[in-house]
Amino acid sequence: MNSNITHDLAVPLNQEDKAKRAFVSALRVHVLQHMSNSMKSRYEDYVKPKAKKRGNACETPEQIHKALKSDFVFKAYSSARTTAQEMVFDVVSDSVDREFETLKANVKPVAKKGSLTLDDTVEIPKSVSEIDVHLAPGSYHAEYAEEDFATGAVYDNAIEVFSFGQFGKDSDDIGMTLSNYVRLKFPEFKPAKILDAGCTIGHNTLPWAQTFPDAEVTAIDVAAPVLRYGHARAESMGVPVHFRQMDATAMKFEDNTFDVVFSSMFLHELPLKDIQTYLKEAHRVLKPGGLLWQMELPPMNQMPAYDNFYLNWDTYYNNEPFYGTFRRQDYRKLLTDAGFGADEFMEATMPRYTFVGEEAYKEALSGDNTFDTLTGRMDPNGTRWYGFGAWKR
Amino acid sequence: MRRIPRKRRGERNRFFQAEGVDELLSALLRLSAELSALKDRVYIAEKVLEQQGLNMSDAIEAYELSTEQESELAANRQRMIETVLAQFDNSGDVDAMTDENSKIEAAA
Repeated sequence: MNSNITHDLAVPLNQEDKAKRAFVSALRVHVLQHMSNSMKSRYEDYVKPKAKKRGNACETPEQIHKALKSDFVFKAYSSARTTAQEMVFDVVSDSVDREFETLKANVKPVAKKGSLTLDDTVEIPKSVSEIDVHLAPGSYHAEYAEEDFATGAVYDNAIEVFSFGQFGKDSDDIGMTLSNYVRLKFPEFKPAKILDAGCTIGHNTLPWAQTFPDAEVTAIDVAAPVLRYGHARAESMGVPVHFRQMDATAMKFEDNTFDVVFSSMFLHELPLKDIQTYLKEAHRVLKPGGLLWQMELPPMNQMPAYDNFYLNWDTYYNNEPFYGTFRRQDYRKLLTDAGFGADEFMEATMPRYTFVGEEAYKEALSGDNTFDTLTGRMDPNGTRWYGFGAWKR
Repeated sequence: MRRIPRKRRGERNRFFQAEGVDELLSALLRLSAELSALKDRVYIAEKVLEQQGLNMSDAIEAYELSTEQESELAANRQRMIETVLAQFDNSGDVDAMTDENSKIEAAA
């Protein structure tokens, strides 16, 4: 598998790296498509009828989980998926470790367009420090060398293998999809200051600076290694972004600073109280007339029970313990509790911008929201992103 | 040199009731990755040699490994065994295990 990563921080890959990355991506496709389809058929044809006879209604994701848990097909799927997930990080860590010194030279860029501001007083939240999120050893904040960036490099490479190309070139499709949604849906809206909360390496931040070239884009995260890497990555790609080490639940920005506050697949990694605090902070730092938008997993109340069970697998088995609790929330209420007007709530499902192209994307946005098996799910047949947000009045 | 840890904190999820089945599947998949990478390499080697006009099969059968080459292959073999059996090792950390072996050897 040749990497799509073309910036200066691309890890030089030897044939073994390419072969192993290709294998792991192929394994994930097999698990998420073939084995996952087998599991669904097995559930419909065998597990569900039997469970119903035993008095399990199979109406909620928890009931479906309970019914399937003892079945061989679920065990095989889950066991293989767990190893495939571990292998994503293990195979890319091999190349990042090997090329560490080479990469190091490129991770100290002369800031040409953006900036990097670290703050060692930022406390790493337990939701990051206490668990190996996504089964990534050491999570995303850990440092193994002075001014370390390794977890950023691992993340950049891992999401490419993990997504088997489904995140698009530069793994930025989520950012491209959302920023272009805002551009096309609200053509009169010209944001001057944009904030990305929980940016990791900024792969979904850069599209905002590209879509709104006149705006000043700031990106925050608690983890220094991903910010060091993200800053160098952005400079290498010639995209101006200001990276700052900051906790999204305690932002150091003045009130009414930004025209847009957004995040990409961030909330579902946070405990509920942190989600609530962050949304209040987002409301505070937004200017009146500013826009909040969160690209996220679809809420449970919009999805069929089996799909909810399927999406929630990560809560139990992928070290993402807050995922299910988040999806169970009423997203409109989360925003109104944070200060946004109930009537301002918006949600949308979107095809992937970089895959379908501008015209098809525009056409899709004029239709109704679609919630189905492909919504929010990593699938070789495609994925539809989901987002929600509100204007601050 | 390994800087980034390979061992995850906390207990690994077990799906199969019988002890060792999840670990065996993990080992099997990791072994498959090694084998797949090797097959890719052999395929590329064949193509490179064909480009050079060499008959690979005959040349391989006639080749004699030097002592240094034997040692290199032995080290690769050891690394592969440690990788494949990572889930059966308590530490789960290949380098730590290697260090432990070195200590035992040194003590002996």
